[in-house]
Amino acid sequence: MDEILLKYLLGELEETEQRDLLCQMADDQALCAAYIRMQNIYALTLLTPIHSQKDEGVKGFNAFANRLQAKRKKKIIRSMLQYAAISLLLIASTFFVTRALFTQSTGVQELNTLYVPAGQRAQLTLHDGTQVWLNAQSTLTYPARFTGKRREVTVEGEAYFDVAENRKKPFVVNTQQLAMEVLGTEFNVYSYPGANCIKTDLLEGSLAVSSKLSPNVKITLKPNEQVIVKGENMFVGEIQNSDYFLWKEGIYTFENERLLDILEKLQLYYDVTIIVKDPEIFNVRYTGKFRQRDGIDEILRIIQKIQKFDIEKNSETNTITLTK
Amino acid sequence: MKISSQHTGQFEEIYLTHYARMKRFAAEYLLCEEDAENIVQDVFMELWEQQFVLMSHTNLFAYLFTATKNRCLDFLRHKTIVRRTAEMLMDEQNLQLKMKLQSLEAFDEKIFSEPNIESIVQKAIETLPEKCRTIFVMSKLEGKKQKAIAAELNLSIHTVESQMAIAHRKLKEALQDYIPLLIFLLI
Repeated sequence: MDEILLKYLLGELEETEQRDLLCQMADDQALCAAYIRMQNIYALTLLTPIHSQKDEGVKGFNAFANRLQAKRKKKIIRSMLQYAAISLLLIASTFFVTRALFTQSTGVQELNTLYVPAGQRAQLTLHDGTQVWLNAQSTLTYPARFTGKRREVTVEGEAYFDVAENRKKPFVVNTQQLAMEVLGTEFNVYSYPGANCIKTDLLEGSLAVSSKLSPNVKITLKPNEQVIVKGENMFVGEIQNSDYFLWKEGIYTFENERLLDILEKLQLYYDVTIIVKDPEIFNVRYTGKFRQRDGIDEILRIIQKIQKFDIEKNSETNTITLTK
Repeated sequence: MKISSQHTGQFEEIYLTHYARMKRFAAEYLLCEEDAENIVQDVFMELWEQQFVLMSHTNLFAYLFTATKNRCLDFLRHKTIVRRTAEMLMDEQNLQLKMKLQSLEAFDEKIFSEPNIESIVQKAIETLPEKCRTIFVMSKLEGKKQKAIAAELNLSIHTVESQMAIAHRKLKEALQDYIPLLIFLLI
């Protein structure tokens, strides 16, 4: 048995003999054990140091050094890639975060402006739910979103506000030299640059009006009160004509008003110049309702029926001349 | 070729002392010298990366041997599985490798905690008759082919073969006492 095993270990067996032996070993435990013993003792002897191994060692060592070099290069490339990946991640995230933050802060500066031309009116709802009606030739400047501690808008012309209630964020309307602060309320602002006064009427809630011209003076209105500002002076009175606010539905009402005042309003609403050759007709008072969409010609014609005067229109200069 | 490190000199010495022996041992079980080379290089790479081992190990030989043995075992196990799925179970090389695997599994590295084991093995080789020993060394330790040995020593191949047989028998006898140490009793 040993003979055959030895021959096998030395590689001296014929192919068929080798195969037979291997098959035999599969079944024969004792044969297996004998082989294992022999194999391991033999292998043990291979571990003896001999002189020629030094050359082999040197060869191996060179190969080893090459491997180490290659490994180091790989490591450098991999860590470079990792750094690149991290850098990219940092850059990308910085970009997105900055954009998000920046977008939010520019939301405060991002103001929209709505201009309503002559003969028209508009209604819009602001980001917080506040409703605004704008009369003819009026401009509203407002932010897309109300960020910050206050809700601020700027108005030129005439606007009616139904402010959504927010106790934490007061609503401020700026117009010419006035600033009006409310919490939740309904009020009307009449503030045309060409007019002789600024008027604010409070219908509901409470309103604080202050003027840049007299900063120490702050007037607080109660419902159904109005303030008229002429220059430095502020007059508080009662609302005379509550139908007046129907303008937001497109109905102009005048209650016992002088033609002078009516004409001034019509000029503003319709962007037309009205020249009165005979000033006596100014003081006649009128009461009536007109639809905005009737147009100025129709309105003047109806007024004409009460007190006769002649109307002359010049389309080129956009002037209407009234004569007795 | 230089590798920069504080322990380069020490490492190189260890490398040169052990490389060839480990490679030979591995090649015996793997049946392929290239595979053996790769495995031993991996072993030394690991040693290099864990430099504290250089410092702390009193029995560096045992460490290197165990590392080599374990990698060979993994290799053989993987190879026998792979071959089983690719070819016939009774494939000859597969059977050979299986036997090698079994032998290696049974090889107990604890034998190297025996302080004198290396000198014992060496002595066993030295007790071989001169011609026998020369042939044994040339064949198995220097890796020379039997034909080349015959030509070099001016002998017939048959003589070389028989001398090899004698060498093996004598070595087995000499190391018999250590067999229990050498082999796990798996049965």
